[in-house]
Amino acid sequence: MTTHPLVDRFQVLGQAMADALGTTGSDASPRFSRIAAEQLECFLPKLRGFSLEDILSAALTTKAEQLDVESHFGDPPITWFMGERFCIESYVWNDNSTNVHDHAFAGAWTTLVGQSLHRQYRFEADEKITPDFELGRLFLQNGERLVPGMVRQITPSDQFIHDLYHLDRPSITLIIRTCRLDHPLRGQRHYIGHEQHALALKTFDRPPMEILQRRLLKASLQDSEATFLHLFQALLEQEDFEVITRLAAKTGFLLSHKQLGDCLRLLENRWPLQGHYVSEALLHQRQLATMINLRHRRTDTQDRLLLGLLRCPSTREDLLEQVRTLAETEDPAAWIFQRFEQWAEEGELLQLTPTQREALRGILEGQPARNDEILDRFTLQNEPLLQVLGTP
Amino acid sequence: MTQQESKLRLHRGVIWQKTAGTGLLYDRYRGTYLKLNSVGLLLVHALAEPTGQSVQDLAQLVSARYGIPLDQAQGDVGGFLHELRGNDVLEPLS
Repeated sequence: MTTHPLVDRFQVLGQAMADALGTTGSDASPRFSRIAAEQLECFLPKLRGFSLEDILSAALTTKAEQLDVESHFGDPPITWFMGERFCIESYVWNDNSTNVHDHAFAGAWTTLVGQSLHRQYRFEADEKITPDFELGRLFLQNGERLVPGMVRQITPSDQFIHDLYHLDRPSITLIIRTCRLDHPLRGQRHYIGHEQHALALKTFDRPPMEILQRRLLKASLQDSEATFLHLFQALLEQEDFEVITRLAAKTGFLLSHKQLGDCLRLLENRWPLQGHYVSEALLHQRQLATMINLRHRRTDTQDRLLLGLLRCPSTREDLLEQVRTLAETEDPAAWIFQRFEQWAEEGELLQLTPTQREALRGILEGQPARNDEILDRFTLQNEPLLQVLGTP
Repeated sequence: MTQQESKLRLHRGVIWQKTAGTGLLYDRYRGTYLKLNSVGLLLVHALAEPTGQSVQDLAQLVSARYGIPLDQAQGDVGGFLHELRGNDVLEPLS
């Protein structure tokens, strides 16, 4: 098979990166990320205009060693160049998105195809349970819309915490990164939660027994709710707080709201103070799952932008400001309400009664409720999709 | 302190909302609602206090507000707390 021209371009990029990097300097230093960003910026004109089909066809002809082809980070992840200290990969994104996470590697990335909502966060720890698990609070720092041509650097550890919510289907990103999967300080962590309660938790490279426990919990769901709860209770008696939290986080999205609530109550009975962080963070994660699920059915870029913004730890005022900036509208409340109405009419969201519809408009516009709207406001504000609107 | 004097409060995952004359209790953990009549609303309001309430406190509250004998109020309160316990929305105050 003839090598696709795109494969040759990635080889040239890889060689240029190796030459610029030289043989000195730490891979975890800012220097690596800066050089990677410079190389991507330099090569961007040669990488424009490719489609998903081009990328997939080219991937068939690459001979590069694949870094982690089983990874769910990208659908699929494709390694184009594998050097001694770094590799070049692209990730195809359809309906999948990233969690909020930090990194155990350094590098830089750019968008090749499509566009993404990119947000950065700051984590403030309240309690360190283990080196891999902390309780704290997660704050949104900034949000931007990434389009082809924009390059961003990745710094290892919790100095750079972010997530990407891909707006176009597909979106494709390209990254130059160090190959090491483990940073000397600690492994990559996921962040779950919001400004009041959040978890920073390592979820990768788990021991086989923990993976088995997780799979047993998932299997028990096929039997009955009682079986799942019995199994979870048995694990509560034998495992520590970190393992139980990870198991709950990894299986929570499979549970009904009631099942999740039952698990969280059990967890809080065992660890009353710290358990509250887990409960609040996993309830928030459940809210995010609603956005992700709905996105599978909404392909319009603006619809996806709203879903991406709603899943962010935020308040109503923050949401309106972000919509004003990122959707470039002068009337963000109307822009949001228009989408809610459309989703409701298409049966994708709440079956809104006329009073609820007016209550929702009132919430968005920050108006005090009329008496007969109070119950509807309460109902709307406690719908997972709309919880963010309940915080002024 | 006897068992009857021990205090209870709403679980921290439970929120409530007053509406015109009635109310609604929402368990955020499980996503379940309970409708409240005016007496239930009065009791939930008291149970939301961080310091909690004993059954006796609650019965006196109902007795005073509605002008009914204390033993009748205790029966009403007992029935309501039984329903709240059945929905697992109460927690003992340690």
